[in-house]
Amino acid sequence: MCEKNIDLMMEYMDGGLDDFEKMNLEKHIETCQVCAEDFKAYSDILQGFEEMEMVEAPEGFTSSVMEQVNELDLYSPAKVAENLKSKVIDSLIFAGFGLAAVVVFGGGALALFGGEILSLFYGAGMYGVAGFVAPVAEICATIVGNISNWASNLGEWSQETLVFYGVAFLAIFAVLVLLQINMTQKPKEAKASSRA
Amino acid sequence: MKICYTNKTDFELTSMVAKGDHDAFGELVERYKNLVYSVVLRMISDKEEANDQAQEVFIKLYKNIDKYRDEFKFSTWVIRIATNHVIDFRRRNKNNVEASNLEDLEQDVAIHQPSAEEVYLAKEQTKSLADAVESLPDMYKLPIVLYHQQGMSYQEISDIVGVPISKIKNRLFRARKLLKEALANMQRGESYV
Repeated sequence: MCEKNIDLMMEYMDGGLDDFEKMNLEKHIETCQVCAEDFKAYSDILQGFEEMEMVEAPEGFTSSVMEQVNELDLYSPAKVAENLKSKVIDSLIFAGFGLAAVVVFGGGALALFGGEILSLFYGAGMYGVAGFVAPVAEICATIVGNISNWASNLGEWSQETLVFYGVAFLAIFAVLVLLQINMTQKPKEAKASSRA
Repeated sequence: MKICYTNKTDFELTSMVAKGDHDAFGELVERYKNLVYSVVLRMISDKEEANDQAQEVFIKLYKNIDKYRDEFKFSTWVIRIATNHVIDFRRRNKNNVEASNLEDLEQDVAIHQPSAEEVYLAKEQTKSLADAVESLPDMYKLPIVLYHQQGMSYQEISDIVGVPISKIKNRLFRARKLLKEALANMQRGESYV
């Protein structure tokens, strides 16, 4: 019973009780010594909070923050333009990666399975959706066959061809990575020089 | 013509900062420095460290000012960033023995056991409410400080801590009970338990 009244006391202190509930609680507190003591203890705590001094930030706080903000200067027109430029270059690099992936994988897929893809469209045109279902298993089998043929042909490539493709791939990858590193380091250098 | 920043709303000031106006940010710092500092101090309990961390909170605010949307009150956003910053700060400082994540603390309902030195100091110091508040775990300390000292509503605290209002209410109730017990123990000259 009294445990429930403690929760009611909390509601009372937060202004969450209606008049009827308030009256009932006040009546109970008048007759129950345990609850009266609890109520006084909670009231003392709340009063203590009211009397507690408001903590103030140390002297010079604002000027110290503003000094750092002035050094950063992130939103001046020059800085905004610089950020925009680096974002555009980042986007171009990203788009370059995307395009390269489309060319490599898309081109590879076309070279390997171009015939099957065309026959799928042809089947769809000739027989509608139903025409799709029957040749699908056959086409899948052909695709798997093509992949295994391609994989086995890899072994027949000359060593020079393999080295050429390997070096070309690594060179393109290195150029893109260097570009990315260069772009991410620039802002850091700018920050360091502004601190100095 | 000189701009009068004191008449501007928080949202107007944030827009001005995002356009490169540093004085507008100075006005925001003036408005919220005591709030941020007092909350950080309650969570760190070291004046010098609290000063450094409160300043870092404002630098974080500055860096992210263009992300502020007025769906929340600015003070709510500020305190959310401040509390997350303090939690990250504690995580970085491995020596800190207090639990570092508010949600991790969800299951932890016991007040931390103070060291012998803390008990001695507590006995020596005035048995004040501030000491008792300091002894509370963050999950209780933060709502009680925000509600009673900063006058925030259940809803605002819920937005800051990221838990439902019902939980905030329960934590407040539980915090008061813990404070009552801690004060009673301190009056009897015992540790906080």
